[in-house]
Amino acid sequence: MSDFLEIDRVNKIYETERGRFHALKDISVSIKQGEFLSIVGPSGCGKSTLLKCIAGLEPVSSGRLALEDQIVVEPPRNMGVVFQRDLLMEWRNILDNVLIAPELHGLPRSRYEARARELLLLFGLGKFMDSFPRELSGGMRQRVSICRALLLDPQLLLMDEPFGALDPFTRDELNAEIQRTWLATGKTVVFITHSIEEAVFLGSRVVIMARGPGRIEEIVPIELDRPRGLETRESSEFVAYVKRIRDKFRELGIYKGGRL
Amino acid sequence: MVAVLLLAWEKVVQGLGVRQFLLPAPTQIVEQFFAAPAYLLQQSIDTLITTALGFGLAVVLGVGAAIGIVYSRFLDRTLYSLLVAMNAVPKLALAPLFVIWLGTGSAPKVAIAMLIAIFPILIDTVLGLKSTDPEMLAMARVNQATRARVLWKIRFPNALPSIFAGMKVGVSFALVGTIVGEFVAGGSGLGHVILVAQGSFDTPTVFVALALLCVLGVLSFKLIELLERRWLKWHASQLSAH
Repeated sequence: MSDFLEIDRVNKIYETERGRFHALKDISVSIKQGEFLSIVGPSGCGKSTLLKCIAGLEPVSSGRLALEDQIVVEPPRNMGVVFQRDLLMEWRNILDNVLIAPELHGLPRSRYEARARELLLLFGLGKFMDSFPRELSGGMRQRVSICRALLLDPQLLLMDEPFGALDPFTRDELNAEIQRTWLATGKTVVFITHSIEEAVFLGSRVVIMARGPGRIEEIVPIELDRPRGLETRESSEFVAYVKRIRDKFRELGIYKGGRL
Repeated sequence: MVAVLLLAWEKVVQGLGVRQFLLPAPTQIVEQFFAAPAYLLQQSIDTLITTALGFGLAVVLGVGAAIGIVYSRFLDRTLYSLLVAMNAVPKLALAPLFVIWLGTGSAPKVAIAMLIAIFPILIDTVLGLKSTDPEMLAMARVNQATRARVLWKIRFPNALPSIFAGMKVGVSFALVGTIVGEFVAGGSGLGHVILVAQGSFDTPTVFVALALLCVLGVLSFKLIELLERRWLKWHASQLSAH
């Protein structure tokens, strides 16, 4: 039985005026159904490009990228994406923003309205359904964007540095909420981050990517008990994993001035 | 502020004994209006209707053409360039041609109003439609959206602030276009009133007509603004307003 998401020797090359840019080189990773895969790496390592290829937004230059045994050539159904920016529509209220997902699919709103309300309640936005995006904080807006991605109950959830623009407190909160959702639904999640701590906290495995050209350096299985809480972050095993991954980046020369 | 200016105007004209046909005093202008209020109001309404028709057509055709230009590279290269070229031609020069083609009724006036008003509406709508956030379009793609759904649910609402900006300029142009049409095609409207009054050196009437034109201009602009305030409540531009 082939795996849920197969990425086999995938390459992505951009042809620009300045020559060929090898964004992804021989990327191979096999993702099982129900897995939470974290991908961590510095800017320019191709992690967002990889996500775009998985999402069917960009074609691969070579290699095999298949979801449930179907080669991905365009955005597959049964997939939700949370982008780095919340991409909410300022002219719609919060509930309508979540309901844009079925609308864009050409599905009737009415069928999904109850579930949209449930999701918003679950994510603590019950009082804001009639509010407009400008009235919400960054963290709340990103929660709306997560509800929107979850509304149609996709089997695959892609998240591209979804909490990058948020403060550490909100980030920790949302990490816990995402973990809770994942544990409750068994979805397959591919989560991109530039925070090693976040990658270890959330992931069943952590894919370490490097740049020049974008490639997978190592895949680290994370054997920490679930559900993981704030105390987990302080445990010696957690710290050891983070150290191991940070050492890898050090080895790769990523830390020059000390920023990832 | 306006009252002060009017008062100053009145005093200057009276003090210097300026002759009526050069610069009438505000009181004389008001007198002149009340000499034939029904007639003048009727002409104002005529001008207003022609402006509304020309503007309405400009919005429908302008937005329609903009959508075509945004979705078709062919139209972008052909229609857009054609319209830019046409816009460079002063409509006053085209006006007599329209009278020959469309007769001396309202048609040529509406056509000229439409032609002048369409350009800002077209340009601003194209800008608005093209300025959609590419990441939002990616979000739409992963949600299996067709081009039609993207246009109606994302591009178009996102473009509304630009479209309204174009309409505010366009409605003023439509009024100008109507007056130009009335100068040439004549028959009715405030432009016609101005022409006839000028011919008989009836400057006070010219001023009455100009004042009424100002009122029409402000009213139509304010109407668009009112719609804007209702439909663009969500936009940053409306947040600092009253």
